[in-house]
Amino acid sequence: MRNLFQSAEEEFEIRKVFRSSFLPKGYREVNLPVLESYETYESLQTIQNRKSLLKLIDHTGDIFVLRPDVTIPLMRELATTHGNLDEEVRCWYVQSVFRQSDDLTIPTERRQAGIELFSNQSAENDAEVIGLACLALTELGLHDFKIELGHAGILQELIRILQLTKDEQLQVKSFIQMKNSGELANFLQQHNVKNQTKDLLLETIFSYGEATSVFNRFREHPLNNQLSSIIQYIEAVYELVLESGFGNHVTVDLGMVNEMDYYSGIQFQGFSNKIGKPLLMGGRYDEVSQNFGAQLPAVGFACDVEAIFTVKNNSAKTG
Amino acid sequence: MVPMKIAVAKGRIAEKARELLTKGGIAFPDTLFDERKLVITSKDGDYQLLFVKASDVPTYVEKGAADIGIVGKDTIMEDGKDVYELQDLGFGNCQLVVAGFPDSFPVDTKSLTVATKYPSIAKAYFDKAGIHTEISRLSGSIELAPIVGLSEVIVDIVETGSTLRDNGLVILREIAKVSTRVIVNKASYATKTTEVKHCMELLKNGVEGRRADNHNA
Repeated sequence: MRNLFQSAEEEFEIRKVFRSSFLPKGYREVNLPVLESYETYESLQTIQNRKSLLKLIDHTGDIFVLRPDVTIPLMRELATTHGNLDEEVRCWYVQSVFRQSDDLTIPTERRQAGIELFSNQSAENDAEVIGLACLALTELGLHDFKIELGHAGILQELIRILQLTKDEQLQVKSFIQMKNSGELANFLQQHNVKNQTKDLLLETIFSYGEATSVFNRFREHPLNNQLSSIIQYIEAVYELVLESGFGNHVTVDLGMVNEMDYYSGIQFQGFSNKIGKPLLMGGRYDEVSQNFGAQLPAVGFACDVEAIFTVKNNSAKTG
Repeated sequence: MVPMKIAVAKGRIAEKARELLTKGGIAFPDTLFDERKLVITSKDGDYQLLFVKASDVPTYVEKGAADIGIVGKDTIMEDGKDVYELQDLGFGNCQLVVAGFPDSFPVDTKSLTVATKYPSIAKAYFDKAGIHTEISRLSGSIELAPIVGLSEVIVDIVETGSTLRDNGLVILREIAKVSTRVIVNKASYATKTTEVKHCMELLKNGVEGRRADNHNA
């Protein structure tokens, strides 16, 4: 349990690190409203996510939610001022988010620290954000972390080829999310999936580890144009992160499935061996802003502030 | 090196897990293997077995208190924790079923009362089938529920079906096939990839060795 003073110190420290690391790259801090209209989330979220929202009703009967994330409110605000991305926008934040969980050990209010880069998709922009995630963790004194790098397009494409019902798609996704190759193989067998497609889907589960060997192994399969160009793209992003000096932190995971299904391009997660849950999550989501009538492609990440300081404090204790 | 922590369900699964790891080449001191021990460390110091209650295995693994867990598929399904499920060890085979009296679950059923140790699995299964349920959570002797009228059907695991038969109950639907699985914490997989993959190999070798043994017998 953290005490009041420690928690404030930590927030000060993370702000200091974020400001000094990101201001030189053109990122500016933003503050966002705590209350968000319920409608903002109604269309966006899955049923599970809607259940986690904390709702308030004002005297007129309108429903509000305590913001469950920072990305969506930021997107909604920018949609009104920068509707069609006439210039790149770089932001960072340290803000609380509110989500109810069935797991009572997870606090409803959690602090997130993150950045968003509103820009068209390019390997340079995506690598910039991954590099900055590594930089921030390093500057915060974490050194043994791993960033898993994946791409939402791979599974999207494979599922498109499969032509399954919605329900079956969810099953396939959940097998891949759990890296459950045995049950995935059985399922594909039962659904008479062509061997070539079946092998490729199973390969996504095994495509985990050191970048070059993963790419080479995946390329041994016959890939269509879409899949080859995605692999080429991740490789380009990886090369750029390597150039920025953080390549040794990167592990490739071509079978990454994220709970947030709004990612449209690269996606990544950061882990330390000192805590069982992710330190940070991020990725590219180019279509979300269309819900607000805007064209704001973006890439970003959010750190779990409590997780970061749990790791930092553990490292300090064990040396 | 920090040892790889493996949480195993106490009892039969723990015995089997130790047998597989030993066949895969990891030696544990025999004398230390007694029921009251909560943790035993392999002779080379690379592996630690943690003995926990079956239903707690997924929690240990999700929170990272253990890197790896060995537990039945029924427990994994009920908990729905965010972990990887990397291997099927192929023992502890049974079925997760809906059971009851032969006429308790007609095809056009709209609502049912259910008794079970697995309320989440039961709810998900019946919700998907569009059947409204009232679920009572029990922790043992589930077969008694329909007999005394506590519920119309039960959701439980069945190995041979003899307990059901003895009580005049039958299997009405199969929900899933159950066996012992290996689950892995996501951070452990990311930060100790080589070690985790090596441990999977050892368990796999152990399973294949055991299968070969059966074949010879």
